[in-house]
Amino acid sequence: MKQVQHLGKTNLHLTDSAAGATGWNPSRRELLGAGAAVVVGGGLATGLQFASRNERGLRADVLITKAADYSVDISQRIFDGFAELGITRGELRGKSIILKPNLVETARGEAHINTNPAVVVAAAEAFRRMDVKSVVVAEGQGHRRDSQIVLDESGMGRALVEAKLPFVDLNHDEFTKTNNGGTWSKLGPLFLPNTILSADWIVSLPKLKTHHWAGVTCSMKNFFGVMPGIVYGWPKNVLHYAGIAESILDINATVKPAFAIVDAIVGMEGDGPILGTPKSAGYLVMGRNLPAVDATCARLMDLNPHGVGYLSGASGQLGPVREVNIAQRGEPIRSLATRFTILDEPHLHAVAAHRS
Amino acid sequence: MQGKNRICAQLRTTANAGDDIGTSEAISSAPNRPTISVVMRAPWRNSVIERLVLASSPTGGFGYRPSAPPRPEPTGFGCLALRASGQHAALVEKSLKRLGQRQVETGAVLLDPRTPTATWGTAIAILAWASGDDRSYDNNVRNALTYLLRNEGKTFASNPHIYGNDTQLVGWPWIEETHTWLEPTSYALLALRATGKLDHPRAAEAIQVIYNRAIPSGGWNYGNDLMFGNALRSFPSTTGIVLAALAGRERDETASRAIDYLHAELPEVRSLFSLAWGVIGLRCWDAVPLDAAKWMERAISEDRPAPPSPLEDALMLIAAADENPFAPRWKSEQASIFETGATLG
Repeated sequence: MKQVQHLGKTNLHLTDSAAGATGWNPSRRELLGAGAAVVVGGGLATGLQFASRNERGLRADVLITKAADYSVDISQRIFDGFAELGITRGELRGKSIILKPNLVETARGEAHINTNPAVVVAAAEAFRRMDVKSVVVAEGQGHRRDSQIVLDESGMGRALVEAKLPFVDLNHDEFTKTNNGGTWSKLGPLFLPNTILSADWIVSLPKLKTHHWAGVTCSMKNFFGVMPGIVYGWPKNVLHYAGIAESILDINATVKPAFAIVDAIVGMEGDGPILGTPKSAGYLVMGRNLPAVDATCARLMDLNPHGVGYLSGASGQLGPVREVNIAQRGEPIRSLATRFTILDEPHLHAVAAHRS
Repeated sequence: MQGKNRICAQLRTTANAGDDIGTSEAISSAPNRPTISVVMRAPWRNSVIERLVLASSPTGGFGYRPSAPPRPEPTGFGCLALRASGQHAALVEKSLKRLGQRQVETGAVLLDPRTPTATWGTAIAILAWASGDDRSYDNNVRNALTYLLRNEGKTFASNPHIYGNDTQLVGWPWIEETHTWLEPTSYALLALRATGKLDHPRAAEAIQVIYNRAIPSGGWNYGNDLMFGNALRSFPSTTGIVLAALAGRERDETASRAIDYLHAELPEVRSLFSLAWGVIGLRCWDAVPLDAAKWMERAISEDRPAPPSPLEDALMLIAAADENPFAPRWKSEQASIFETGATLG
């Protein structure tokens, strides 16, 4: 199976073998620059339609691995997952890693709202074992602009201190005007935190949740949280006016995350992403290609990825969404899939239409 | 006695000099004005002032981190904090000028020259400029008010099935051409009060916005009360900011529920931003629990994954200042200066 690193909304993508053949082992910063230039020159636009069945040849691996609860050795599972997905120490050695959890909001005693601290710390341990240069946790919550209270109430703050993991508040980070790597929305240039732009590997660490607007919130939607609130507001209303799905696509095409690890040990169903109820699922989902990871997560929730706006747009542009184009590794979807309830709202019917 | 009930209004005795917190009476003849200002004998205050000053930009102003480029919010509140301390007048002056450099022709004060629609710091700049006795910044204030009164949050069709609040009411947005949210609306209301413009129709509508979006159980969050029939959660910081903006009004059920919410919530809060705004909000309603000084001292010494920002330090200093800069009497005597502006709405 070829690994895909897709560069924006173009047909330019690199495979491991292609990169090896040319001797070019691009840094993430080089990829950002190249992607932006190609997109600006190419002027490609699609709208949120599914690409052909072949999805322009894009293929990706996604790993599903069991983790019954937060007391198991999550770090080892992630470390083993790297090997399963072809991520080598040589690829990560000396790299700066940003872990981007989902900390949208908190309430004491409601741990299922956010990525569990155990998963964040475990991911950091796994990356540190790969000889990376640094691991930093960074987030810019969408509702609560006060990072410290979110860290305190979620238990994340204490966990980060104990694990000696620095935290960066992306909402108030210094930012750089960056060419938009996509053209789905009318956002134009994006103002991205310098912490994000200077990292080699951006890793999405979302919680598996339903979403009362988008249907599913997972590794791609998680990147609303890199947009600085001082520029986009609380909530990040600029992105809502530009279109939630379109903004998700533009941000992902620009940030170009390298990896995703989804905390699906306990997820959320119902009125997500904040007011839903806990749903024990008992697994982690990992992969290099975020549309493929999110499509797999939707299937694991018994939701139709083809009904999720941002996945429709991503199909064949940022990655594969169709099941036939995703190589599922580890546990089969069928063995772990469990129905997540979602709100019975007209705008969400396409996500759950197959259930009736 | 439970902390919730130990409000300073009940403690009209003078504390011993060595106490963490004392009270001094500041009787006013104006209606609805808090009658007691709380004097925090905060032992941490001088070291935080020092840290704040060290974090300032060489050209004046404060960023969100030490040595980061100045931004309107930390600069505005940094000026208020230093002014309240009675120290570092030269730095305040330099910082106020720096704020002026961020003001554009429309009167808006920009977050950054590259972000022309991120104008939410305008109200905070007004608060800072109007806080002193000199008139050097009257033109800045007039121009900023002109912009503030023109900048409206976008409305959209109300849908009670989705939103509990009235989406047609107009307050202020964070970013131009987006919807009304509570924090920028509260800053704008504070700025209007500071400049004697509370009789403007937009102030009245802002108060409507605030009341319309109150969480039924008490307090406020970023600005939605219910969604899809479910009540959202209140935030201590927004509740404090909103209470500061409403100071001087009759204490009605909505205000009482918000104060009760903060009394219940703040003892557990370690975050400087939320705690400071919560205490500021309570001070504006003369409802600070005696334990507040202990909460603040504990929070300031907390071990955290990121060091306190200049904004957090400034807000903590404001919360512990001898004089509350957000007390409702503030600057109303200068109202006439700004009411003569020809371009004001």
